[in-house]
Amino acid sequence: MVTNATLSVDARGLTQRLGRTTILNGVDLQISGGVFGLLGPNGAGKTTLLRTFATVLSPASGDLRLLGYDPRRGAERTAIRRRLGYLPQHLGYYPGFTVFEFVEYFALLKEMPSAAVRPAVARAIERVGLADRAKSKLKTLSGGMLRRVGIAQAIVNDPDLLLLDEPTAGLDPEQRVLFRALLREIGQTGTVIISTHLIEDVAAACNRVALLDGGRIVFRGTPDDLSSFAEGGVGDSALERGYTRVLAGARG
Amino acid sequence: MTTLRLFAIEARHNAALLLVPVILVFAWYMLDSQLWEPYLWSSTNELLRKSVAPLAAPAIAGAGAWMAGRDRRRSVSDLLATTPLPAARRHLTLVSATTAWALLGYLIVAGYMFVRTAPNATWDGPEMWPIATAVAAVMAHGVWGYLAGYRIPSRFTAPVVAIVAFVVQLYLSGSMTVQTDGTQTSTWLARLAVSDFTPRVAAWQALLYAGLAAVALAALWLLVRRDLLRGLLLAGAVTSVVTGVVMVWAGTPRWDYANNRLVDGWGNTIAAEEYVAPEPVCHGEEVVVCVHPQFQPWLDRAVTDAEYLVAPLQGLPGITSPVECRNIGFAIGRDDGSRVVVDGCVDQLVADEPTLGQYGRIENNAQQAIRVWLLTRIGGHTMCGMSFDHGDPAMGFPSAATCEAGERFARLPESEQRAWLEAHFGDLRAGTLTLADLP
Amino acid sequence: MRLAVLFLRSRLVGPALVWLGVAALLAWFCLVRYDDLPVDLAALALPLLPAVVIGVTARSPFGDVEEVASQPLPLFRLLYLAGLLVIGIALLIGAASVAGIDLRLALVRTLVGCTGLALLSGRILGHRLAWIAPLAYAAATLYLDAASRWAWPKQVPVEGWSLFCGLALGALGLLAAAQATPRDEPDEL
Repeated sequence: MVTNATLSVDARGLTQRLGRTTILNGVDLQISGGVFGLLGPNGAGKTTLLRTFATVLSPASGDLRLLGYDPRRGAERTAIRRRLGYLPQHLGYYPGFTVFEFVEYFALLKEMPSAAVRPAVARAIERVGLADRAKSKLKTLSGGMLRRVGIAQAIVNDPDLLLLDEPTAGLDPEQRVLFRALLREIGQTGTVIISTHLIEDVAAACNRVALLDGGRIVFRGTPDDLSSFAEGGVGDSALERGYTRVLAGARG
Repeated sequence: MTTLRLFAIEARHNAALLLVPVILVFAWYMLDSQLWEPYLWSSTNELLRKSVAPLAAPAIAGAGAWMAGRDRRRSVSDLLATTPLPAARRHLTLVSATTAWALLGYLIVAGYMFVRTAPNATWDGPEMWPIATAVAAVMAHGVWGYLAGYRIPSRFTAPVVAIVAFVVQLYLSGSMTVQTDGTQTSTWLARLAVSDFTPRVAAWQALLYAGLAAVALAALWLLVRRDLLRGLLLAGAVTSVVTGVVMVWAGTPRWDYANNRLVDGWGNTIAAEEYVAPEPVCHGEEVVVCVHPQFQPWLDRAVTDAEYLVAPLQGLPGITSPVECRNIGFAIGRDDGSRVVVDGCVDQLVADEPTLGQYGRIENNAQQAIRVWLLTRIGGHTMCGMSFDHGDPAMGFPSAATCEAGERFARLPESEQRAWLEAHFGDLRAGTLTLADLP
Repeated sequence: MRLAVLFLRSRLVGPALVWLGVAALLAWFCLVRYDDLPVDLAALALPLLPAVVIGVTARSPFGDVEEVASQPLPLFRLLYLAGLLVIGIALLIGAASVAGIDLRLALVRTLVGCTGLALLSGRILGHRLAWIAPLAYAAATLYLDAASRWAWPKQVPVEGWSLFCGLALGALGLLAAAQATPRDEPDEL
């Protein structure tokens, strides 16, 4: 049942646990359209949050709506997944598959209409700059190329909600520039959430950013808002200094 | 359409694809070592049954377990969890693609053998129920292997599953139990082996294996997603398995010694007409060989080889002219690639009928030793050294001492062999000699 | 000592020992329950499971990282594989002895030989698939004449040639697995 059609992600009091360890502690986040950056130190819970949004994990408690649907309900979860794209931090792959086959495989799993699969796969591969390697086996590709294949499978169904965990890991500077342009393009029609350590990615591509630390949101706003906290912080850019200053403040 | 396309992708990148050439090579090897032209339906059918149990079934079980662990090995589980296609459908597509290759290999072999056998065989025909049982067994092994690999994600799962399946089929096909309360339980457990075939229980065998496959599928679906429909499917599958086992037990014929009749598991008499032997076909002048009609294509060669078998015994007491070799079946074996082994005739040559044992076999050790010599001469299987009990003449297993005596006799010059036979053959046939009487 | 423990844990030696015990139990059950089956089938089939269990432990999960260590890894590999083989032999012989069946030499010969076959084939197929070659060879051997030189795994009693085959394959397999580096392992299916 749709409760708030304008929000792509509506998380209220979201909690996630691993055994007795609390990974996410009452996260409140509302995201609608554009490119949203998720920053935070190692172990802050960024990947867990992204996996929860990707419906891999079910929230331990709290309320979560994705694209207006409740991911706890079977039929609604399926509806979310049809409109979802996800690139995990560590992408697994079948070495014997070609680039085209790998992306096609996931297009089929996303229940795209049969007639639309092959054109969509070709377009996705072209968008990530691998058209000339479409028939290459994955085991022959470099790490950066594999990352781009992962991005291609995530965008093949033109998702309304695109979740990317460390998407630019392994990409060279030129590819990173192209990738940011792709993000901005997708963000014009859908919602993109990227989790990254690279401040420059956030600065270049994101409309809004959140800072996660110890399972809690300690900052929400635009990159400029974060940069405004630069005084007293440590780093090479205003955004970096703002990041370190906010973190220090959150930790008391 | 999506499912078909997924099936095509999974099939193209499936480890079980490699089973097809392996099954074909194995089948060619079995053909070359076990069968000779012209093929008979009995031997063709037996080869098709036996080829599944030792290789195809265990191999597909291992392949299933291996493919079930693929997503975990390749770290794509998380990514797959975010896709909308139901996980049960995804698993079903993968396990279908896996078992399909093994089935394809087996059916290619079956089709080839049927085409080669049909032109020359004179009796009986292709057995379709064993094919159905083999197909169901391959599916069952594949799905159970997949279930094990899914449930127990370990590098040991695939090898354990494959080897245990191999050992179980091997021991099932050889299992025998005998009771001493007046009835003999024949090998109902052996009927559970893929390689065994009894017309009365063939359909239940196929049901049993189909049920086992369904149980594994239902269990897999329940692991992936719990709901009532899958629970009902599991219950139905278990019921079919239980029914299959019960009906195989019930349908297996056994001999009721107390009342001298053949009965089924419920104690009902089995109609004697089911087991009336057909009228044999005969050929030959010096040695007349009579065989089951299915061996008619081999009859000329059998007569030639029977004459070779009888040659050292011609003119001895008890050897009539013409010699009659009345067999319902004989072994087609070879020493240099050509000889038909009429070993079923040997017992009649070296023993008078009253001296033959309960099962119509030689039990006297001296007679066994001469039998060993004759079989060695014609390239037959002497059964020496085959039993844990070091000899069981009633079951056709000669003891070590008997084999040694027979092999010693075989090494004598022909003149000495003839001289001894002329002096002792009558007593030998009467069963009054012992091993000590042999040279 | 700590290094040895961690090395053995990385090769899943603990679970392997459990499976060797299970294999011995299975062997005992088959020997006791089906004592009228031909000895050659028992000699062929019962050592297969412990052989492939040992074979699949040879895979290293670490890759190149392990290879740049200064410790003598080939020696570690040789010692632990030989140790597992000795334990497997002891358990199998124990099972046969408890069952009252005198097949010790035949079981040992087939176990050593099939373990060697598993380790050698693991270098080609990957050690996780090391079970394929022993199973295929055993299945083929079922239909070989017992007198054939290729049928060494099922020949009873054990004579010179079959013993030589088993020991030679075992030795070659142990050496090959000891020398293996991650770059020798192919991409598995």
